[in-house]
Amino acid sequence: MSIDAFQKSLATLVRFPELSFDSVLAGLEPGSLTDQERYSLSLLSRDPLVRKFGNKMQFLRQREAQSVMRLSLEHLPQELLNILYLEHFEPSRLSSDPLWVGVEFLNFLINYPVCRDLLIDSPPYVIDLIKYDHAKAYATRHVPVESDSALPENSLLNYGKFVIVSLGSDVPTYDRAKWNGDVGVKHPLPKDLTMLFLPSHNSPFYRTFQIDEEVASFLATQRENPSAWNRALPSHYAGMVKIGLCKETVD
Amino acid sequence: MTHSLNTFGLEWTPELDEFLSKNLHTFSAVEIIPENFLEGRFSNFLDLLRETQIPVSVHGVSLSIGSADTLKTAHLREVLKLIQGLNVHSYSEHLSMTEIGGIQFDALTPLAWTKSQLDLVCDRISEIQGYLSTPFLIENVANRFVIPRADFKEVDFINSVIRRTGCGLLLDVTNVFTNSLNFKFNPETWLDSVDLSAVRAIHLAGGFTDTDGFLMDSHDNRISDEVWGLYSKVMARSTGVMTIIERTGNLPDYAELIGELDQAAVISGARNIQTRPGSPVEANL
Repeated sequence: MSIDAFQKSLATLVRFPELSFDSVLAGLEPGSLTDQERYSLSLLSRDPLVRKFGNKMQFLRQREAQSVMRLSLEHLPQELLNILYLEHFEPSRLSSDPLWVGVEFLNFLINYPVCRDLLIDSPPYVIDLIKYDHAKAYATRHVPVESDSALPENSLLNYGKFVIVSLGSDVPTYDRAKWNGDVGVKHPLPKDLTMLFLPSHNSPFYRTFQIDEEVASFLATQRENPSAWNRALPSHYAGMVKIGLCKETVD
Repeated sequence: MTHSLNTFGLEWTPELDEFLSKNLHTFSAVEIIPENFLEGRFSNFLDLLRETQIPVSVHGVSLSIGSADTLKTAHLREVLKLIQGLNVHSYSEHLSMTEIGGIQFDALTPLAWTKSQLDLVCDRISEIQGYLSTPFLIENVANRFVIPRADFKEVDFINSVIRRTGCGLLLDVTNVFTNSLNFKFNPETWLDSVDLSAVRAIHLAGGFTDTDGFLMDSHDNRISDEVWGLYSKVMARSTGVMTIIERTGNLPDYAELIGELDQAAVISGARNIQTRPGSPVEANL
């Protein structure tokens, strides 16, 4: 369908403002554009307004992505972030929902080998800060699904969406220090802990808990088996706060 | 004529949630972007809309009605479920595209005003209308660029869509003014050419001039005198129109927003911005 090829070519021009007309054409099947569309596209590829639009959208996406890097941003050089975002993340994420681009970028920093290679010279707490920012952004953007009546009332598992983070640094304490404006605290100190991040019905807020390995393992297993969510759960996992299996650490 | 009454309201944003929730009785209409309420977000405000039965403009931003992709029926169904029980005045979408083939533009992107694009948009709108029990409106957008080698002028393209599908027009007066400055045409001629009988709703907003002189439709400024002038000309020839002010950034005092709505009411000859279709006040008019 010709209009389909035309629109995809236009989208390519907008997403990659530096791309030449020939490069855009190279991605198309021969004969997929009419002469009118081909000529129109050649003019658009030289239109400064198209380039400005594309650059502006790219700038806004990167700004949105970095806006959720509340703790990690100041520990990563902007030059390195530009390389990671513009050269590695952006070209591979054509379908990112603007609301989720920050979460996806942080996930990219945590999980992709190219990022691990580029971050190898960073202090070890940097990846903990990225994980913490990611969990917070994820929980902030999710709203809990409706309670499943098969689960005990107040069970944390009712939330369905959660993030478990294993850290080697005391990021929560560092976070609180930052929040309180304590400029003397430069980075988190070493400490092993595992945290659970939950969305809140009162979006955009969220809840965090420090959990033990048993609970972390249970939750991780459950998440990998979505069909098991409706099964009756061991009662001692219901309402973990109430029975002290985990301790709320941060509001 | 109950439905000849003009109504006035604001577009809901998270920043305006508390103000609108407390002062909904002040307005005769309100607009929501349904995508903001998906996944249970801000359900309290939707409950309030159901309770008060205030006329609601449902203004979608992600159906991408101009793209060659198939219609996002799952999304449409989700929105229709969300707005159940509301007093829906109309469901509108932008005459543009936001994605194609899995590639996001992240903004409203202009369409080619060609015959093949016209066929595609009309087919898409007819398909959407099949799902709706309320009027479907298209909105003219602020063009970030114009696709050359068109078969139609923009206004003729819009008129053709209206004629072929029977849809209504959400006329964004600010966008007409913005495009006229950026692409050098007379906005009054544009308004003289468009099918004003199809106008069911109007958007007003303020923007800013970028460093290159390009006027941006940013919804973060006062409505300009020029836009008020164009609005006046439209309202002199229109009736039964819902006027919505879009203010999504750089929020002023609420009194300023109410003042702009009052100005719209005065221009359109309405008694005030509160009178709703079917209300006792209207019955006495």
